[in-house]
Amino acid sequence: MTCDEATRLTAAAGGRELSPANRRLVDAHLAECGACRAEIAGQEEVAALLRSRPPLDVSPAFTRRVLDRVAAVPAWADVIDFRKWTWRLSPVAAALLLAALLLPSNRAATTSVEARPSNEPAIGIMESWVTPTNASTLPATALLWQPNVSNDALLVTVLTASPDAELGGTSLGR
Amino acid sequence: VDADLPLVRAASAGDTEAFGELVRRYQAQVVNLARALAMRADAEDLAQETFIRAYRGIGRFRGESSFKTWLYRVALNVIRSHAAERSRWAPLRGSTLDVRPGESPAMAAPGAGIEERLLRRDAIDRALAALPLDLRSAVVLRDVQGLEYKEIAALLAVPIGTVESRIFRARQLLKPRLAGLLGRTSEARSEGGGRDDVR
Repeated sequence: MTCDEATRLTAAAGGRELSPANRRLVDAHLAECGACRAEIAGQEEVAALLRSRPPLDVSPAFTRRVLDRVAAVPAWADVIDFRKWTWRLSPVAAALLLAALLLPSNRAATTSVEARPSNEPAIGIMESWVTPTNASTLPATALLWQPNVSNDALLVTVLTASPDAELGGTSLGR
Repeated sequence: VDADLPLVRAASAGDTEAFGELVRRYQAQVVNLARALAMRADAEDLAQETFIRAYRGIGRFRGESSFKTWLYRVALNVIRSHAAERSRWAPLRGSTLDVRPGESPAMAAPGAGIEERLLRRDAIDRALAALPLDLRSAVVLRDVQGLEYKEIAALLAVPIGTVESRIFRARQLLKPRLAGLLGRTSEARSEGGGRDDVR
């Protein structure tokens, strides 16, 4: 029998009863192995010390404090316990997920620049800035979005532009 | 038959006095479990949290395990979640331990015997706190709380062989950390003529 087997069958065995055959093997091993005897004795010592750990005294008012808190727990607190609702709400979650998956494809199919609702002027303005067809009609601030614009050109445009003129060609509903 | 079952049934029907009796039965074990596992000066706060959660969830107790085992499971969840929360903030605080020698309120109690007991407990708790939580849980449940191996296996949701190896390894790691106390324990045991089996 090896030392590993001996310690596994004794100190690490959690108090399980050894078969008579194993008991004889372990006893024979321990009779001649000081290291295993020391290991087992060390385990016993630590276990005994932990068992003798002085317990922490509980304050006399502990139970009362718990019961006061129990009384303070409102009746509806159990209703909002998310664990109770996790599975009950799963069909709703599934429906929302399905809707979220289907909605973008519907929008993509039905929404185009031409079909855009009139209540989305801001999106139209920004898109027209980013993809201009005639650079001379751009508002000054739209140059910020353009590639290959020099700092000087941007500065001149901003300094000479009239705010009213910049937005004159757009429709903000005003 | 679980002796706590009548009280559990009454408590789940809203009888707070019955729940109070359950608290009285287990408060010492839960407070000491919280203290030994979490090394918190406010172990009673963790224990209170355990009982509050137990009260709110007692309607879901099905009696598949004993109430004690179920309550310990609640306590372990509370302690683990607090430990996880603390470990997130530990780098900012520089330590995961609350208790410093002499800080425990009870340390001020008069009498050399009491003081020695408190120092002894503090030394044991500090040695335990240095262990990884999985080893610490197993050895505390076995050697401090006195639970059976199969109970510990059920609580920690691991095979009993894992429990055995964790306890074995924990004791190995604790031995050098508790060397100063172990000598005194051995002397006391030899004077008393007792022998403790490792189980």
